[in-house]
Amino acid sequence: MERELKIYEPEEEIILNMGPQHPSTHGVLRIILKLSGEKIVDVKPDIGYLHRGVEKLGETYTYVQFLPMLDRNDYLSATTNEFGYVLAVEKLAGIMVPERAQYIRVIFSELSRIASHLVWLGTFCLDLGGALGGGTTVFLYCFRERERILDIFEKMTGSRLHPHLMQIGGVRYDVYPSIDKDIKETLQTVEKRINEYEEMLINNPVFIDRTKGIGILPKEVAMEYGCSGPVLRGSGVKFDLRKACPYSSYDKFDFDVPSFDGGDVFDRFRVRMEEMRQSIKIIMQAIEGLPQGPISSQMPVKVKVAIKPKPGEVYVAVESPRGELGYYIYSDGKPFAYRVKIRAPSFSNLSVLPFLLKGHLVADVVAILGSIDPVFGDVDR
Amino acid sequence: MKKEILKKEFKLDETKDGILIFPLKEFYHFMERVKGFFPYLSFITACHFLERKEFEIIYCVRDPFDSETLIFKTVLKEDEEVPSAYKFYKGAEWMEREIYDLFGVKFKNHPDLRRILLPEDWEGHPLRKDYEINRAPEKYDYRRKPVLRRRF
Repeated sequence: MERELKIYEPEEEIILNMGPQHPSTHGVLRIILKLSGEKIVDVKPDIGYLHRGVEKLGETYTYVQFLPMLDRNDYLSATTNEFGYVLAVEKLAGIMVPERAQYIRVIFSELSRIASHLVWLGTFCLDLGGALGGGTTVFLYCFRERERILDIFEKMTGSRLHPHLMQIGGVRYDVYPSIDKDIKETLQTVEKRINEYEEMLINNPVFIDRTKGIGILPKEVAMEYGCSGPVLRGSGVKFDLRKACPYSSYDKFDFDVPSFDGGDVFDRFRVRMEEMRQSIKIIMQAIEGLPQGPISSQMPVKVKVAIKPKPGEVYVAVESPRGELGYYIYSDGKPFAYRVKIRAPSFSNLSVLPFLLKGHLVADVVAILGSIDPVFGDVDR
Repeated sequence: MKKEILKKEFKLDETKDGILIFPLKEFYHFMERVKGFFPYLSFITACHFLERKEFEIIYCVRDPFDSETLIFKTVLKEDEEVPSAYKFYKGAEWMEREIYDLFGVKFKNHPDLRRILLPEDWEGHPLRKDYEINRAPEKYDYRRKPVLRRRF
């Protein structure tokens, strides 16, 4: 299957603007490419089109008021955004969380991980385009499965994408009585179908051609750039915050951290597919062993508008579908934070893009960018 | 513990939250030692203190292989410059550009110090504590020629 690619190399270099309104940039990213023929010589990504100043808002809103804002950051997995923030505030203020609430948090952040990876799989295949059964096939399949997961979110909290499930000290809603039946049915279907999709894709020679050996990221470089999540694990570093520093009863579940050594687009694809199966495994265990008890250690929401933690600094990170999502909070004893830093996984993952793109063809840009899976609400904050 | 080794070697102070404070003049030597221990850069950020007229630059690094995290910071005056960590961690490029953009802290030996999130013609640095937040937005003048964002 070795093919000799002959590329016409002209003497002049041209500059190509990709985006900000390009369909395969998954948001508003502008990439300025310097091309020699079809080969990429230099890359300048241009971000910031979706900057909303969330960190500044965090300095003026109280700890409780700021929570709904964070759902909008990484809008594909809103629950993990809240998760990191409530953990950070709880650590800062010394609030304990009941075990039932911890389990519900785990169940829903894993559900949103599956939903997020399904969106990624669908859009990634849409980007790769034509040969994958008309391009939109996998996309529509994935969105069908995702909708069933979002239905559980809707039934539980009333909204599909921005659930506001968590509150400081616990969760806002208890599970409804028939949730275990719903989740089991949904996840069995999802598991069966993602196996089908994976089989369909890895047996497709066009998919293999477009992903294998493309965008190779060595692990030393990945670590220097601060890449995390599937991007780091696709490069052979078995680093997952759920295992490395278990938060919120993740140490009670039995699951594996998938990692592959290749570091190319194909390995990142395999990591994400495997992660979905591991998430299903975690949810099944959590729903089986869901303990009884209260769902929040705090009073109802409207009473506790003002939490006043002691002065101090805290950094708590959780494993979001995209990687290490951390919150650094500096408190000076007031009911609002003095400084909130959101360590966004997409920001660091995207910063490695110039390194990855150099030397590739223009057609590989969408494959490599898709394999990083940035969400621009998260990059620009 | 690598943190204890570093603390002893450089005789550093530690805050009650377990964050090391290192002096700015030992930056290169200290970062070299840190890079040897912790290959993964998690984030770099800053914090502005209006009364003290100071910035704190906070670094967080990790060792993914034995899951140890180190957070350390340095304190500098408002008009001082920090050496760039780009020499040690490539990911510092964008993180330091973000700090420059939102705080106005300048980094020495940075390869490409420009604004990253805000437009290039933006005035002020929003995350400083003296930035006016209740100011009415400037009225958009369509006759003014737009500044081309981020030339190549």
